[in-house]
Amino acid sequence: MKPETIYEALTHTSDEYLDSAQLAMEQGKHRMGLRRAWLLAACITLAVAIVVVPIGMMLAPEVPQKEPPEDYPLREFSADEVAGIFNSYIMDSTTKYSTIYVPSSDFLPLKPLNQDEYQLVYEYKSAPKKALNREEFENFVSVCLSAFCDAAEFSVPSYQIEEHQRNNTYEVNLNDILNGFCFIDQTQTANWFAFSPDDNTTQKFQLDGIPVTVDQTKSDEEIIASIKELRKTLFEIFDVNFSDTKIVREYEGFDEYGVQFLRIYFYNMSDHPMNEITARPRSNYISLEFDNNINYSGDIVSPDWLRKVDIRYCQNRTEDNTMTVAKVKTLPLERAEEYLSEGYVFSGHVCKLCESMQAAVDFTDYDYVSLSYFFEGYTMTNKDKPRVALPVYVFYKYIGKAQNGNLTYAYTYVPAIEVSGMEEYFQHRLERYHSQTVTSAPIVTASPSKDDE
Amino acid sequence: MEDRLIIELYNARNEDAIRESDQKYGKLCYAIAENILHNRPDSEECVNDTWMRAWNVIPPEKPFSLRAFFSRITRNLAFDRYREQQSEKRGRGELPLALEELSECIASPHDTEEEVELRALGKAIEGFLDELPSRDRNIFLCRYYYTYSMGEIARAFGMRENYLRNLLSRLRKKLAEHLRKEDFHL
Repeated sequence: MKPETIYEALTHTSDEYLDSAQLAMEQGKHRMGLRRAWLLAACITLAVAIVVVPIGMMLAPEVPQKEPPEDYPLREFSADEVAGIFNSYIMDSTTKYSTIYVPSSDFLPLKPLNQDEYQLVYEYKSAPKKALNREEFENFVSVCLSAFCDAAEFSVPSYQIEEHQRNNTYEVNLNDILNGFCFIDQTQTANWFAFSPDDNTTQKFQLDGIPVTVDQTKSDEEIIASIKELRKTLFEIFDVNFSDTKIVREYEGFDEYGVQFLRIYFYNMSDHPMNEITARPRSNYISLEFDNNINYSGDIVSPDWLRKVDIRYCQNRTEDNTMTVAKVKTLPLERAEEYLSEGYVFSGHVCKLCESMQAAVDFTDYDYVSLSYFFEGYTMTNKDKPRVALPVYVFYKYIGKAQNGNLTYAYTYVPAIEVSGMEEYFQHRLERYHSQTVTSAPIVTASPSKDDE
Repeated sequence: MEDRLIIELYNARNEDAIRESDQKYGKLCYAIAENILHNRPDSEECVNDTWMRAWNVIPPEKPFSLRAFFSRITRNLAFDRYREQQSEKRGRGELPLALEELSECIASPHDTEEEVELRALGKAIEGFLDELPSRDRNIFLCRYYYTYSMGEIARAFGMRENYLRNLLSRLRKKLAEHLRKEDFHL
């Protein structure tokens, strides 16, 4: 057989696979272009802002001109600082790694490996607050409620708007009960509309005759394709138009109902620079949030078509301008792999007891790597300080099948940026670790066979 | 313009079908031909021939996806032209590299006496593609169907070229193993 034969035989590949490959290529090129365009726009904006100030100053010649900065400020991190970002969480009571369950590796949250010279680090706070505005809220309610009820074939209920001073919100009090739970309120940061239809064993909830449901067994691309008409209806109801869609899912290892939750967000990625890295968009969005847990008796869960849904529309009232961006030198993947083989990874706290409860995993022969962001947790000690979103390599290693047949992957983090003092930090940690005593026996498990996958 | 409207133009024998096809898919078809031939005039000719071929077969053909349909025609035309050029020792492009990589999937790159059924082989390869995670499948097809360069694929998928080379090497080994299990004489 000649290699040309294999090449020619690929002509018979299905249209679906060919389209998917070409679209992935185009999206990748577009994403890099968007990132470059956003960086360029941000640089131009910064440069314009800095240039405008000196021009203004020239009119008052006694004020000296400033030198414009070169795009983002350069930042450096020490290992202690990075450890502090991770230690804001109590993570799973484990040390070296966490675990994720997926029905197949297709559902691992893998992101492209950007190996540019610099990575971006974001520092952000909660969105700034704004005084409540009754007129603004009345307009919001009048737009959303009647359009939603029309689409759901409910009679539009009468309502009152109540101010809750304790929570600092306006809320809608409906006089009639809809076939579900409806919550419309205004906070100091956003206007919210949320509706959860009552669980119904015989009929799926519909908007404009379109069932609000998705089949969790399908891929993200298939789900997005299947909800085109529903998306259009939601945009008409809330009088918005969003160009991007993302899906976030979580699975477990024990029950047999498939996803624990599946959330679909409609938004504009370009509306906020952090939209590319966060699960929930930081700009306006509509979401379909499917929950597939048994929280109360009578809850309906499903291995395929999901029913329990929260339909939400978030309209931000303030501009999220608390974010600052810095650039940090990228740690090349090869160096990250060296840290990985040395065990220089960040996960949870170091404790011999916890580590003895966790089977050892050798990540040097990892299966997948992703360049994602780790978000510093919100705690009482850092609530008024900016929190950090740090670029990290996430290394995934298959460790066996879960009780329900899902695949279990261990994952651990190595910063995707140059960090000073890594060796010293981990040496010190190792010394502290060895000074502890353990009372329980270590649990040793064999590595799973690759055939399990 | 939506694919179904373009197909309606073909069915109505309206020559705007060619213009709309070129507008929507011309760049893609050119890129496919250029990846193989690395020669502008030849690539442009392949694209024009693609529209001619499409005009002649639609109807009765009813393509499900025009993207896949046109890319298939362009790829075949470009590959035929590449083979002519090989005999005249002209042309460069990514295809020779892609074919050299695919030769790892076969034990002996010589003709065998048996004729290989392309369709059966295609089906076997489809079975291999079915088993891959979607990212790996997309990367495999970008390299060996669309013949994009390593650099282009690495940038689009956000990975280093070395990592991509290792990944493709692992995928070729998997393909070779799969074809052996399917009793294809390699």
